[in-house]
Amino acid sequence: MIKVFIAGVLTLLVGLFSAPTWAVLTIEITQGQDTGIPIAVVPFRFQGQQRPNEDIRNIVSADLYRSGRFLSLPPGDFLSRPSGPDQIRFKDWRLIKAEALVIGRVSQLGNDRYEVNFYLYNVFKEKLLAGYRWTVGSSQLRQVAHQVSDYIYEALTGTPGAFDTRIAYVTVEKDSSNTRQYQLMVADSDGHNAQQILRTNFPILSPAWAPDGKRLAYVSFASRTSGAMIWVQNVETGERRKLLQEKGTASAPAWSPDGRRLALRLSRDGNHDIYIFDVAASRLTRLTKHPGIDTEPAWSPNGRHLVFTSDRSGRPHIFRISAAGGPAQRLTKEGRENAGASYDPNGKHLVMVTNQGNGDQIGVFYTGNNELKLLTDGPLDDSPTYSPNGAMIMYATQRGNQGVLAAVSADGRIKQILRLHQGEVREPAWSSRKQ
Amino acid sequence: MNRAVRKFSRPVRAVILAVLVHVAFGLLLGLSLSFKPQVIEPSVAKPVKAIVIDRSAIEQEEKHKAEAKKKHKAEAEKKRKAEAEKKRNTEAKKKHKAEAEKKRKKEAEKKRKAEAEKKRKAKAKKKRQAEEAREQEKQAAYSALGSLVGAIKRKIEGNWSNRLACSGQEVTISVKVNISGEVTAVKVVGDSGDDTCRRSAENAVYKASPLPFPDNPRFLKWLDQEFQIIFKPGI
Repeated sequence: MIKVFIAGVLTLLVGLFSAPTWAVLTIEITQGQDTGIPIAVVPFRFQGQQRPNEDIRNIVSADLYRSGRFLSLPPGDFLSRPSGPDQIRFKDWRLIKAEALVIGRVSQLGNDRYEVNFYLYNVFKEKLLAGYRWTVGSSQLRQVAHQVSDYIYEALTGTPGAFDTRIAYVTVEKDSSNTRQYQLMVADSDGHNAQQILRTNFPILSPAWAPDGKRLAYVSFASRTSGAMIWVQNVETGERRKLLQEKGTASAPAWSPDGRRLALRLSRDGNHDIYIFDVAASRLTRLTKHPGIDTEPAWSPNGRHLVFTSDRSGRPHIFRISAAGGPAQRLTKEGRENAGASYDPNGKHLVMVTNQGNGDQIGVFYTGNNELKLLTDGPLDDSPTYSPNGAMIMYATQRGNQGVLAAVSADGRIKQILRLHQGEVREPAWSSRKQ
Repeated sequence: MNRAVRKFSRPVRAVILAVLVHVAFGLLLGLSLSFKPQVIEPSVAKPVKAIVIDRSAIEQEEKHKAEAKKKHKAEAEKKRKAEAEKKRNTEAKKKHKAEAEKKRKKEAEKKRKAEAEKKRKAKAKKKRQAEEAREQEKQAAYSALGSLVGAIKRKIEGNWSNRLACSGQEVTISVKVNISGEVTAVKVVGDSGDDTCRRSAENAVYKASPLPFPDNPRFLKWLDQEFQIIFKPGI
């Protein structure tokens, strides 16, 4: 009796589930196109007498391309060129499969006064995602363009942009008397607007941005025979302060995330070890004590750990140590050599220089599974530095026997050489976002 | 006329006239006699006792009466019987007729039922055939769509340009299409995925429109034109 009843219920259930329509079809999408988000950036319309030199559209388009996350559609494909919200025909943009549309205009208000209007639309939803206005002089138009790129980047990727940021780097060139001239330079993240911060006949090493995006720490020398000096310089005011004067060598200062301490490599105790310098208290603490060479410290984003390069196990490899000291743990085991590691903003990846037998390449090390993924081809790639949003990596490389800077998207897909300077360029450092 | 009258002489005319007068008087006399009979009723004394003058006559009379009555009665009886017979006949006839009718009806009903059964069977057969045809069409529709699942997947994947926006996430999008496969509605199911991830998935679907869809309009009624698309970036 019960069996009959159950069978009846089952029949009923089967009947219910085999309703005469197709049960909702489910399709799982796991792969993507990965060519970047197709975006149409319409040339900004200019209204006025004196057209500024800066072309906002080109700056924005180049920024977006460099990030590897966008596919900036060629203006030749555009069916219309709106400059205001009332002129948009979304159909024109759906047709060329743009997911996002950027329009804007630059209006001259007076002598060297410009008003910039910018709008970002979701093409398929016909929805405004961002709209901003600036009133600036012509010298600030590049920065406006980078801010436009940042708004676009954040709206479409969900991660804050890092275009309106700066890079610091060192150049080396010979003057007329064949003497080496070292310059500490600061430029926009795309390499434009380069400005000299310091010029000296003696080497400048390891510029490092403080988290405030204003102060730079670096190592320089007063003479051939002087020991290394650690300086901190405010790039906006030019004010600088000497933190340490060493008898021996020093290199690779790295700011703690709270901006109050510097980790660096000193050789004051007869050996190359990692020290931590408390800036406000001017107090130095030794972090590592090992006969091998420990150098190139970098903080984890939460400030609890540091990674550094050490040859304590033979060839240079990356080790990790608590900021409070204690035993160091070896992280990299693959490859011939690994060096110069630093954390991405999420603290999950480490970018580093790796030598796997094909010269020095830039690689990303995944701390979760200890895998190392190569981003560049080498053979002389050096000094990788993450953009503050972790989306790009800048590094030094060689082109035609000359050191140049290059940028690579974090997925390794887009690489670009930054043509900054006639001379040799070294040791880039990417600032955090301006505050 | 005047000539004829003139034929008689005056004395003749007088005689004729006299005769006519006499006849007239004689007639008048006859009339007066017949008009005035002047009969005087004899005054008869009232009899003290009635005397039956003719008994046989009375008996005869009574006999007559009885016979008449008898005859009348017989006739009435005859009539009654006749009527009863008539009535009986009528009823029998009526009954017969009713029975015939009943029989006829029964047969008609039987015939009707047989026809209905035949019809019903034919209908059931037709229905079964229609159901089989529908089932075949349904299966054909399902397999037509089933064979397009890969194409739908590839087309959407080919348009998912911002997979990174969904890394570590999963978003389910409900998509409606029309007969041409054109996307008519896109909706995020539940609260899966963040804004950027959702947008990247929605855009992929919009850009992939029209999606591959069976182009047989007969299949349409079998196919739910709503899909669930799960965006889940693989490694």
